[in-house]
Amino acid sequence: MSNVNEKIDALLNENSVVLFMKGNQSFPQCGFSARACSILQDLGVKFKDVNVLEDEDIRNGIKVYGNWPTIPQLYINKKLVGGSDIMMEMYQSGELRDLMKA
Amino acid sequence: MTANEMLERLKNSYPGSVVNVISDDNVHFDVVVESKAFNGLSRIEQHQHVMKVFDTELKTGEVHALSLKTKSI
Repeated sequence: MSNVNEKIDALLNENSVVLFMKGNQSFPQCGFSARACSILQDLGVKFKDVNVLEDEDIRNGIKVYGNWPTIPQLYINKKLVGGSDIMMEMYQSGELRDLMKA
Repeated sequence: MTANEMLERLKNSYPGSVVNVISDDNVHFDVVVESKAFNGLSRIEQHQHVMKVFDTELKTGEVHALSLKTKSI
C-alpha cells in the first residue's frame, strides 16, 4: 500500500489543485465528477485530473489516504477539500474562489 | 439498500436529530442530517461522520452516490 501513498504524495506535491475523478476533465465519466470539473473550469482554475478508473491502486488508495470513501475528491495545496457536494456548497458561497486565490 | 433502510440507520446513528433521505432509484441518495453530534466538526468531518455509517455500502458500491447536507444544531 505504501507505494500508492508515495504516488499520491507525488501528485499532490507537483500540483496545487488535484481532482481525483472518474474519467478526465475533457471526458468525465460520472455525473459527480462532471459537476466537479465544471466548477473548476468555471472558476478558470488549472487543475490536475487523475482518472481513478485507470489506476485501481489510486482509486482505492485515495479513499484511505484522506478517509473519504467516494470519488470525486478535490485536493488544494495537499489538503482534502471534499467531494462534489462540498465543492458545490463552497462554489456557491464563494469560499472556493477565495481558497483558489490563497 | 432502500431509502427507508438508510433513514432507519440514520435515525439510530443520530438520535434526536433532523434526518431526511430522498431517493428515486435507491442508488443515488440525497441525505440531510442536522445533529448535535456535529458540534465543533468541520463540514468535511461532518460528511465523513455520516459516510462512516454507510462505509460498507459505499465500499461495495451498493450505495453509489450519496449527496450530503449536514449541519450542527
